[in-house]
Amino acid sequence: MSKKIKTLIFAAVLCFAATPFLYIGGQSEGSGLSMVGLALFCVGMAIAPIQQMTASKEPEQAPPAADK
Amino acid sequence: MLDFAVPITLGNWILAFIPIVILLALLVGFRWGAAEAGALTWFIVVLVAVFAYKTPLNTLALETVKGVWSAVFSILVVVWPAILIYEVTHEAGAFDPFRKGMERVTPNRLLQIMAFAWGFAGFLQGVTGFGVPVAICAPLLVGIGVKPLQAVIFALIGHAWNNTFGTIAVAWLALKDVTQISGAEAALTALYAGAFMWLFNFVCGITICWMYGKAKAIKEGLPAVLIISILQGGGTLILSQWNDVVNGFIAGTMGFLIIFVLGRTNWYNKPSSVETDVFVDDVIAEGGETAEDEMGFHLAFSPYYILLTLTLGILLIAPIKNALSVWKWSIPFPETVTGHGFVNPEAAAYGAFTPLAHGATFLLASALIGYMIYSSKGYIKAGGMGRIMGRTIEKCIPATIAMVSLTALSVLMRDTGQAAVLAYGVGTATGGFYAFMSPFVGILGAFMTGSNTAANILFGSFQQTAAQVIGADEAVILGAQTAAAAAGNTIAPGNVLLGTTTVGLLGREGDVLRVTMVVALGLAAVIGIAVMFVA
Repeated sequence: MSKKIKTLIFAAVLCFAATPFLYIGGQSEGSGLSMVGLALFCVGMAIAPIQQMTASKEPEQAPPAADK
Repeated sequence: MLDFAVPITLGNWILAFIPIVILLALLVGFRWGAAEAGALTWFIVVLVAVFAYKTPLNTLALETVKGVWSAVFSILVVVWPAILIYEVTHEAGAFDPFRKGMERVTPNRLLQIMAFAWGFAGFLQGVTGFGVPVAICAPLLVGIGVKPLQAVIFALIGHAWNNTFGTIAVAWLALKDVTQISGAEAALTALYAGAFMWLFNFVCGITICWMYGKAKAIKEGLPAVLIISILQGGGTLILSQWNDVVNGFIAGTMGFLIIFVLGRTNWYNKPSSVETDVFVDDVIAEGGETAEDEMGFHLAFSPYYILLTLTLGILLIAPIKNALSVWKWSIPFPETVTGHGFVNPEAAAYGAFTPLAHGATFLLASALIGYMIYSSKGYIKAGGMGRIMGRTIEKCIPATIAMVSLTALSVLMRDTGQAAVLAYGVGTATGGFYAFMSPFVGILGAFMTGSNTAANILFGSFQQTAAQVIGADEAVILGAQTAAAAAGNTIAPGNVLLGTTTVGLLGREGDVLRVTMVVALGLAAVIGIAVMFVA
């Protein structure tokens, strides 16, 4: 499994882990829990675009043959 | 023109439109994948929601959870098992005998593409929906040798015509429900919707031919296009006046079965004479002979037979469907309000998912039973399960990030009033010209929600009100709304992602959109012109 996929698994786990905090915090209007949930979700969401932006600085690879 | 909680100003409209422009620019212009583009756009939607649409923290938190819930239980539950069934079939080496079997049904490759991309996809859409036709037919097209990018485009275009009356007419019923139209008005609306969708259906067939081999392919494929379109589009239209719940299913079934008859005719019982570049080169020259020790067509197709049996047996037999639909998973949400006073009512059972009567479960069961069948016949080699799961996870993870971000941003746009400002802004600015713009609102709804049903729920009553304000025929405007929303499914990022993920083209969503956007927006323009004259 590539490093990129492992990082994206971590990102997905962060997003899903954020939802109980967001749900409970949002329902009880507890801003602390909501903030924790939002922070986790934001980090999870940020990983894929950051990967994209850092990867685009590297030399481009040829597309897979089947994709032509 | 229309009363609405959020101030409909040019500034608010532009701010709501910016995320859509950025998303499309990243996907189509910069060729980012949906996971990366969706996630970055989510941040922009959050900024707009908080600073321009006055969304408080608790509302932001709850709407984000709604987005994650919808992503998982509306789309990802289909994506994950769809990838699994593809990987099981791939591991067993079942696509090659499957392709050879299709050669025996018809050696004409253009008709083979129509069979899966249009006939089978339209049939599946008639029964199950939820993106299953794209997730199943795109890999099947790859299985018969079509290049992955073209396979996704074919499946997206070929299934969408049956979105309104397909899935046992759930999108149509939603439109009737939100607009509360009378029986006579509903019949008239169904007539217009059916007419617009017949046009869309015909365009589907012509587009498939054009992509196959330009004008020569249109000439060769025209008899099939006309016959299939009469049964699918014409059937949907005529049957809508008799029964507006099963008309899509019946028309889809007729359109699929006729392909087996067409394969025997002098038009299509020989190889296509049109040169094409939509097939992988090494497949073109191979014949349809099967070696004695090779898997047979029916065994190769067995997971899909199981899928059909489960789908038809459960969804079309009301007592069984009702009994299995009793068990539902849902989540309650309190009312949420923005600083502008945009209210989302309390939802006691948001996003109900019926695990025993959902296409996703049928897909999962078909994948598992298919694995057992292939394994028992010796077609899955040692370590096969590990390889299947490894490849499945590698494809599922980026798709998961993409769907969570895209659904979260669309729910946030919907529930903070941004989507409504976009639609109401168009209505306010265009006035009498709104008749032309009405299909574009339907497209917008489907683009943002990935669903004909959700688009009708989101904008159905707005379209009705707008028609009343400009003095247009409600039936025409509503017919255009739902037909355009059906076409909008070809450009909805979630649907595109379903196709790219299942054929291993994740990250190439922009390349798909370059083609499907032309079809969807072109069709909306044609419908818009027709609406101006009729309404």
